[in-house]
Amino acid sequence: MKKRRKSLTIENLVIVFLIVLGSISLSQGVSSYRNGEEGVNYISGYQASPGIKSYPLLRTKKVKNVILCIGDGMGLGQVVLARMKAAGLYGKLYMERMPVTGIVRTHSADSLVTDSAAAGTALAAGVKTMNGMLSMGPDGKKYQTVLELAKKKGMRTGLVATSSITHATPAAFGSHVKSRGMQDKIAEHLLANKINVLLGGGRGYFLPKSNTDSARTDERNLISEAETAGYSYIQTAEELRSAQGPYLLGLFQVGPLVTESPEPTLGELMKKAIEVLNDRKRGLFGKSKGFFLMVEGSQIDWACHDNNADNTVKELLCFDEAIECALEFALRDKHTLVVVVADHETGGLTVKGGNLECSELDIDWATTGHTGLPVPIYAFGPRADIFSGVYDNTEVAKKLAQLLGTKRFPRTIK
Amino acid sequence: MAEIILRTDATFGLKLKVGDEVRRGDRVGVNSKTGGSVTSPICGAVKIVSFDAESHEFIVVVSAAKQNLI
Repeated sequence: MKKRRKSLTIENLVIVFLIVLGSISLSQGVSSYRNGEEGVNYISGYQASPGIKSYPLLRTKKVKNVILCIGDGMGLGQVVLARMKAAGLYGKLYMERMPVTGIVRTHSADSLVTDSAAAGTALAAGVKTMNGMLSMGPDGKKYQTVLELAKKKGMRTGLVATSSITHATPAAFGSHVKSRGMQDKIAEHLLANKINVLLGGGRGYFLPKSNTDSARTDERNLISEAETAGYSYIQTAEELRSAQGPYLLGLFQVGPLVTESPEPTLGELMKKAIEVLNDRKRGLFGKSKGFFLMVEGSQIDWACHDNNADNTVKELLCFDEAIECALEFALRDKHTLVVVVADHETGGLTVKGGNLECSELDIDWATTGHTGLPVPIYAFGPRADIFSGVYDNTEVAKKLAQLLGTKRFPRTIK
Repeated sequence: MAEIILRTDATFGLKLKVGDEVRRGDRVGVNSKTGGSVTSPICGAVKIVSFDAESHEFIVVVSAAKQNLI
């Protein structure tokens, strides 16, 4: 009998050994898969959230800083696909760990299917407008944006994007024009608004016509004008590391960012923006009035227009990495509200099937354009609870304005 | 062979793909600036479809069919 027990013990040990060995090889398989299938490296160094537990609901009520993250074209299908690829069926992206979720409707004033200009206007100024228009009503009246409201309240402000900084979404927060195509005019508005941090692409719109890289139709050199106005101007990742505020203009490409090394990642841009905006030494008696920062993962939309699943996942994880940086700061700070939302869905992406290991996924696209689908919203921080529910995209701006202490919003400006 | 380049607002998906044939007057997409229709001015075949991120437009290259050249 004793012999039998002993042999069982040895058998058990062998079984345990085999299970451990199996687990190791399985986890290695999952690990190598996390950074892309069949050698596709979605984003160097990105690791999906190691935990799946939601971040806590904060009891603090005072919102001092706001970080609004916009995933251009990021519907639920895009989030699900990226999560399956990066974290598996039961894992979570960082944005998915935010404790408050909601659903946002996206139509514009003239179309069931919005573009980024009208959607950006709704998110920034709380008003529905026509596709193509930026922070103006359909009648051409200009509407104040939450960034401008924050500025008026003495807060520092920033815009970060992987597109040209003059592209529709960032432009909706810092300019007022009839057409999103007026990017040279938008560049002028962004600087005239004295936005503390402007990081992205689009150098061409700041250079005079005589410069070979220029996309302007006049001889204004907005980079020189910005430097004269007190901005530090940078254009490389190395310069970014040592850059300081209070005014920072970083234009890393003539056109949109390429989102590859040696460019700074969106996460690095997010970190620098927070560092510059969260300068506690400023103001009378060293008291900071907080900041408003909008960061856009611009190129999720572009990958979806191409119906390119690999690039969609790559760009979404790049965005999620930046969100991790925002959440890391907000968890420490306790008075920072982080809101993640999309302006619209692009591509009508859906996951039709696959296996539970997510190593094989059958996906499909309904269109190469945008869709009228609602989009997810996630929130963390003080007063995050007000972002739960199903509501219109204009409500996002109204809720933000309310948290900044303004009830009368939207409102026109001259 | 003659080609024409058409630009359409990428907000709305293209129903055309490379290889499709178009006739003169066929609707290709929406004009970004006016919101009106972009139509093909010639008969031919779609040779290239690409997405221009900066302008947020599709670029559609149509190769003229032989009858256009007569």
